[in-house]
Amino acid sequence: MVNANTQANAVELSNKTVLENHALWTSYRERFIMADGRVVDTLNNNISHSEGQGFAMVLAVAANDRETFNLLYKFAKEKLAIRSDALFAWRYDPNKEPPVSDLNNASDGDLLIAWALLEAQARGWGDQNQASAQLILKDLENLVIDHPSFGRILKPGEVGFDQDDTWIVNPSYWVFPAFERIAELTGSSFWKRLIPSGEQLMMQHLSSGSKGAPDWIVINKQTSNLSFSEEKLPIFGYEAIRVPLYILLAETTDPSLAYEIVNAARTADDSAMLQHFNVETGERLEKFKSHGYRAITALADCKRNQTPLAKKFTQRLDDNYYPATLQLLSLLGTRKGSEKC
Amino acid sequence: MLGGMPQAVAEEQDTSNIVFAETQPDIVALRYFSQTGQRDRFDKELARLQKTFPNFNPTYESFLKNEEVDDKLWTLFGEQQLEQLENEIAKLKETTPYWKPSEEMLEQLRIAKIRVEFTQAYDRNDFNRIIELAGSSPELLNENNLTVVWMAGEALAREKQNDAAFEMFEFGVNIGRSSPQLPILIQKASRYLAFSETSRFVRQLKIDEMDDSRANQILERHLRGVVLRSADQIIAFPPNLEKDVEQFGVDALAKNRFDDVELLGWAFFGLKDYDKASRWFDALPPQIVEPKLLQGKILSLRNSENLTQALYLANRWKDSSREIAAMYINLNAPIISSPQSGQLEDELIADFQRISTKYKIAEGAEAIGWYQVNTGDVIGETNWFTQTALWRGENTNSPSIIEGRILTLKNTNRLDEARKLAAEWRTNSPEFARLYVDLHIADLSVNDDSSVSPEFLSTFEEATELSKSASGSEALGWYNLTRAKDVKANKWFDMSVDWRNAELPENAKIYEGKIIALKRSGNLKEARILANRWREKAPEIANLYIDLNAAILLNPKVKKQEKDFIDAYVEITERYRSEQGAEALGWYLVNTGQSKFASQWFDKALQWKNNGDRADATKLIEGRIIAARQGGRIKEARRLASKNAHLSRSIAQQYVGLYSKSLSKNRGPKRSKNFINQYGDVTKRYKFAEGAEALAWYDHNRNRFKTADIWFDRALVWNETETAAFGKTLNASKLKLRKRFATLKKRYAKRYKSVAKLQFPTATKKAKKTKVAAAKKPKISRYDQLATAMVNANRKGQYKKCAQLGGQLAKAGLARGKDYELRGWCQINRKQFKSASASFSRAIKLGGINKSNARYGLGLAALNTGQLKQAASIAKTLPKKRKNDILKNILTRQALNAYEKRRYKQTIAILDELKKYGRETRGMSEIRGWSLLKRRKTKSAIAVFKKLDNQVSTRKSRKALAIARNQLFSHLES
Repeated sequence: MVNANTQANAVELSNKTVLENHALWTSYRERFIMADGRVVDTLNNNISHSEGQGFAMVLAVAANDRETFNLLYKFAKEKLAIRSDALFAWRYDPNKEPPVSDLNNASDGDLLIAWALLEAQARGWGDQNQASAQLILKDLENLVIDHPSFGRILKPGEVGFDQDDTWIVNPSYWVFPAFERIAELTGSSFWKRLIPSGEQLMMQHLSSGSKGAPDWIVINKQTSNLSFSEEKLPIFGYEAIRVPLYILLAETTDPSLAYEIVNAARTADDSAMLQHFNVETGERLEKFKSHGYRAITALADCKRNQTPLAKKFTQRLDDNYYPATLQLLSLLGTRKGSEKC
Repeated sequence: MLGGMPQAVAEEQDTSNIVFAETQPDIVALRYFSQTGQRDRFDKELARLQKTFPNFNPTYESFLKNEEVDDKLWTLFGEQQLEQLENEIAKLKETTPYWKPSEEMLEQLRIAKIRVEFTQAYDRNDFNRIIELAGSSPELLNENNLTVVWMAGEALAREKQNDAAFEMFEFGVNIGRSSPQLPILIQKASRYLAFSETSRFVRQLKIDEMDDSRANQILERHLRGVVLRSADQIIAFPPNLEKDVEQFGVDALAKNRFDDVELLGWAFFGLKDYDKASRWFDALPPQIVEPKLLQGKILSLRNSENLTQALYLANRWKDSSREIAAMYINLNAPIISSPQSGQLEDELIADFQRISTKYKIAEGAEAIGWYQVNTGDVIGETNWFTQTALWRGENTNSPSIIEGRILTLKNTNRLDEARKLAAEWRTNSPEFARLYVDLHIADLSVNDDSSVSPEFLSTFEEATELSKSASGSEALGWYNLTRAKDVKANKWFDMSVDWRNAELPENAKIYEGKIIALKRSGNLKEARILANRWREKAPEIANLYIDLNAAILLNPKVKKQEKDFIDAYVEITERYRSEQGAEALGWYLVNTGQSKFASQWFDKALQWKNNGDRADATKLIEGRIIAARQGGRIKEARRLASKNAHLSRSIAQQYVGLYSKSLSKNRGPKRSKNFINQYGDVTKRYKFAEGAEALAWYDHNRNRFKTADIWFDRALVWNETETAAFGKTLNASKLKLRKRFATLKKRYAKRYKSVAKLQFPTATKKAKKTKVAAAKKPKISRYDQLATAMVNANRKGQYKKCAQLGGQLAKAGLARGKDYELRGWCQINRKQFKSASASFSRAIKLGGINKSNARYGLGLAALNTGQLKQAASIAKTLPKKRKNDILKNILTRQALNAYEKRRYKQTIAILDELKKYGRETRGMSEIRGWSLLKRRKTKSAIAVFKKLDNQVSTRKSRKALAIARNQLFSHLES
């Protein structure tokens, strides 16, 4: 009825050439993407995830690398799109038979793939990408719940997150830039309504005396109460580290939230380095030593104080898949993939 | 198309279209002359034109006043007098055919009309029409029409088109930053969208950059929207907004915005946060809340079974109007007049009386009357039943008033008057018949027949049947039972059971009577079933249960019974310390070869015996001896038998039997003279052949053949046996009485082969002495001896022995950690928890054990000595399963304590906590149900009892359910 997309544009992958001909992308492609398009999680027994395929597809669009994009999507379609709906099985282990042993999906993986497909269509790649993305998003809508206070909530997967009175959610599945761009590229505000709920989730959590963003959080279905899951410890870890990154990559979110999350996780002796910690007790755990993770801190400082990124972030790719991915995603938040914001 | 062209011109065109190419006059010059004030030239030009268009007749003014006309029209538009504006335009068109309103005017008018339509559709809640209008006129959705934008947003939200509503409001926020309508739009958005979404709008507006007044306006509207949403949809405020909501209320109060304060009250009321609701309601000036609104709310809450909320409101505003007071009375009357009203707080009763009196509410007076009847408390000087009739405008001699009067007389101990009145009215209704029965029931219970005339009995029976009085029929049951009219008694008891209403407490007494009647009439099986079902209800029935089942257990041919039955019997026996039960169990164990534990039951029976006279205890002592004997504890058996042989023939027989073998034995131990004398006396007293033969052999083996001969004689007389015959014959040979030997042999040889083989001795054989080399036994250390014995004792369930052995080890300084631990467990089994605690502590200190086990024991000991805090702190150090075990136990005890102290809210909270450790036990669920009921959470209580009843339907569960339902029903009915 009303096109309310009056906000500034988010990370417009289809119009940017952030990673085009970038040495880091070439390096990423060579090291983590197999000949059949499978993205290898080198820190996790070389298995693959729908999320990894989605990340790489997003990066491929940003690098204007259509060939690699097609390869990545082909693998996802052939090996992971084996559910009865348009969503993807979350895990692929080539060392097992069958490689997919659990048909459950991971909502962020589905979302990343759909986003990348829409951006690809906007670049003029293929003629079915938009339609494919719409099918994924349509089925993913079934995993979105309306909460009386938070509004829209995204379930992490189809199975296993719905308890009697609560839902377990993963704040890092709120891929804010994806929500913004999907709204722009589809003209539907369905996904955009997840932005306020994600922000509220974090703001309420942080204002409750918690010491940082947790990997997993429990939402009461009727009230606004948040708590921690008994099974999943209240840790700022490999999941939650993406929360500030996504906030910084989005255009309409409040960056101060990202700064707060990043600041809470900085190590005492090296402020550029983040650290796992128990957000309930404050107990400090292992450090995020790889420099790919440091790119997030660098991006936060760059956005906040205009401090340029150190050269190493644009010149040397992290050795492992996950930190390397976060490093490249961080560069999407800079000006043309450079050191400046 | 001819449109507005004058007819004459049209006609002219028809006839001379070749001459006149123009279809209408050119009025440019006319307009120019008019507007420049050149009247002459205007007239000339008009005359010229009229030659061609004779009917063309505009006035000079119609051109001249164009601007004035415009002003007038715009003024009407500005005043939104759209209808008048349209009329004016129509009129002008008619009077000045060549006049046209401006395009802008027409467009604005069109828009204004649509806007009006928007407003009208909004006023009649026609949200679909609003959505339709917004879709067909998107040009209306702009900064100047922000009202239309929020109306469209609200319409979409109300029609559940949430994405579109979000878009519409977001659009409004984006375009309306400087619009005066923005705060309203924010309020509407906050009212209909999720809190997260609207708070984001507010953040995006960057109100920090606005002037204070506008920023405050936006914030206030935002919060009002949030509070409205919360009150309407019962949505809790997000924790990070609670401070703002509080401030909203404070500001509202400061600025006399009482509607907002009331709104906050309702929001918290909906959230069942009555403390906060009261705080805001109390802050309102008196009478601010509209009575009609309150009445509506109370009624709807009552009808939707939200009684607590209805009660809260009625109580809060009971003084504000008679209508609310009547509702307050109506809601509370069932509680005040219920039989359990004795538990109510005095304050509630006083308030109830005050309001009833203040507004002269008859229902209240009647409830107080019943409260007096139920509790015996006297409230004021008023006769409340009479007062009820007066306030109702009824006759004070109406049946309900008389009923109340009788009850009041009864409760104030004016029994004669009450009885007289009840007798007069007894045939009028079942209720009066019941009163008659209640007031005369004591007469029937008297044992003396002379006090009960046949006439009275017959009247009482009639009244009982008319009123279906359970207590009357029960009394008749007992009356007949005590006069041995068992069949009649049984009939009345059955009626009593049938007539007993679900809401009345269970009356075990009826069943006691019925069981006795059944037992007496020989219907033991049915009596046993009833006693079994009701044994928990009263000690009398428990005793009947013990008695009826003792007959089974005491049967010498009894077979092993089901474990459940024995467990239950043991439990009841121990609870009531029943000698009969203990004895029955003792004999049952003896008779079924389980004599290991029989002794303790005989001991208990002896201990629980009311009469200390030993003579009455002979059967128990006999049982005790047999049990010891069967259990291989011969020494103990002999000791008991020796000591009590004089008490009965049976014990004497046991005594004789216990020694006979030993005495008869060749090379048996030498006995004292006293013993032999006693044994001989007992034997002779009861003429026990077994004893006589034993003594005979005893003497024979000691070459006292003469005395042996006498005893053999006695044995043969009292009961001839082969061995006695053999002994007697052999003894003759020892006495070298050849002739007697021959006679005896002749007498017994035919019957007994052993005697036939006997030969009179020719020479004595020298007994060979055989040296038996003692087998070399391994030396066992004292520690090993004691420790092994302790382990064995524990294994056999001999915990006392086990604990004693542990004590010996400790005393000798030999005990190790594991021995202390084992001793601790044996003490736990003996329920010596304090000692157990010491043992476990020592075990932990010495080490060499699995400390977790010992800590667990320590925790159990602490738990059982009531040191719950200590038990909890020990539990924290244990593995999950054991930790939970102890914590569950602690919570169970706490729940029971709280329930006993009538702290029902606390009970429920503890039970909720307990539930986290696993499925709730049936007992705990029952407590939960009763606690909920006491807290008047009737629906929840019903759910609990229903669940219990669905699991296993018992009389108890059915009754609980009936009581709970009845409570709910009485509320609803009123």
